[in-house]
Amino acid sequence: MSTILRRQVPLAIASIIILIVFLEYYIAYAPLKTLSSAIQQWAIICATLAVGVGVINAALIKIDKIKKKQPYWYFDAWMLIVFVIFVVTGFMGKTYGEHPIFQWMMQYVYLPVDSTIFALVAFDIVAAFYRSFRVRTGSSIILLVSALIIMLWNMPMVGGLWPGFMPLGSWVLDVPAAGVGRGITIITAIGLVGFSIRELFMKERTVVGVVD
Amino acid sequence: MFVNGHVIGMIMFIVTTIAIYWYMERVKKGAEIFVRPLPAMVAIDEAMGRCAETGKPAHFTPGFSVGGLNHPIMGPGVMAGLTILNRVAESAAKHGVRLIVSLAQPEAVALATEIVSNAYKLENQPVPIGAVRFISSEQYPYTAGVLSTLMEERPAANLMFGYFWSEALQFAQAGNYLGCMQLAGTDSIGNLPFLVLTCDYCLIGEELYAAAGSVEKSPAMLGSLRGQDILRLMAVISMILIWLGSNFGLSWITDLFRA
Repeated sequence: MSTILRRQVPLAIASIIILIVFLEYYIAYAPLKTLSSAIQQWAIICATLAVGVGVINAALIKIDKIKKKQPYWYFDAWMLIVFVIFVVTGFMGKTYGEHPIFQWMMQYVYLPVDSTIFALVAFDIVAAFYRSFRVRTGSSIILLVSALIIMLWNMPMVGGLWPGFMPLGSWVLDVPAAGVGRGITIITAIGLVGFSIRELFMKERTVVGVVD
Repeated sequence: MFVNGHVIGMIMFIVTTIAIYWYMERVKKGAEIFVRPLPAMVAIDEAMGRCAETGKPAHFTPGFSVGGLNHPIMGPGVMAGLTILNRVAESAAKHGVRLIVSLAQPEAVALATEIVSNAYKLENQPVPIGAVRFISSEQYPYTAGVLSTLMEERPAANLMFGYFWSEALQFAQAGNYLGCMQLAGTDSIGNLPFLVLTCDYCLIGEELYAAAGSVEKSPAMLGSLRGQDILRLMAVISMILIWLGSNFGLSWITDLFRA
């Protein structure tokens, strides 16, 4: 019974849902559309409820680290304090998140930190470029030359020095890069169709966490 | 009766479904289908072996998707990453390696916990405490959390299979800094080059969806891979037909695909 409940029932539910959503995409039948919309709403509600599970999981791990005084435990303690402050101030307004203290924290604490983490990508790109673009094989020469063309194409100064870089850079982006990108997109979609059909046939058992 | 513009798609979907079912049955009856090994999947055991030798943990993340698993494009990528977690957890348990799973999807916490605990129980190994960690459902807090986990835990292997945004490069660079063996795979076209450049082995696009089953070689997997070839063939024929229709004034062909 346990095996059926844990394996077959979730797979059957997933299979039925996939079938309904697929049919709704292809067949114009109002009740099917209503059912499909309802299912998608349930999915959103389930995901929202799952946030609670996620928060409990995160909090338990942080508390465990603080209790064991693991390295950098004080950051975990700080994270828990900030978490409580955000939740409390978030609920202080008439609707969630409208209180001025919450909005101030979002605007002057959260968003700048968020942007800073994104900005770090620039340094990672340079480091990855330095590490990776070494000429070892014929294809790495093509990669290096293409990357140099795109870099120079992005520099306004280079366009002023030799206008020929502009059409060359556009060609690299519009022809080989776009072609390969579209190819990968189409092939990925085909892989996704296969994945969905395996789920439809209840054969993709790994999605319910089964290890045989 | 049918939704405008989706008829040809529906026909292709039905043909693919029949083809996949037919090939699955053929494989069950003993037909042999060759599947090339995916180096990134083959290297999972090597990565876990390295963790076991160094006594360090392994880190896994299925990436970030806006709106969790519900997103129609990113969600399946993360889901496919979680199917690979099965194989990773199995190998980690076999080698006695402590696995750390960082998540950005709260709805995946229970699933990942189930996958990891099943794998360790099957190998009669103790389930690592706090193995599955929900970080945040926002992109950059998740990025900061994973980077912090990598720096604190200093794993010997960093595995990234799923859907990634700009954080892909940040994780991969942190892994490089720590000297990790890095395996990755994504169907996110914009961030795929970053992973290809910085990781030891990388699954590209479709391979992400085929990876979990490519190792087990079950009839379902082999049949579906061969069935997808039929869809691939139909896609190529459609492209040629649309090209002919557009360039030689054969409007009935393009109209057919709009039906």
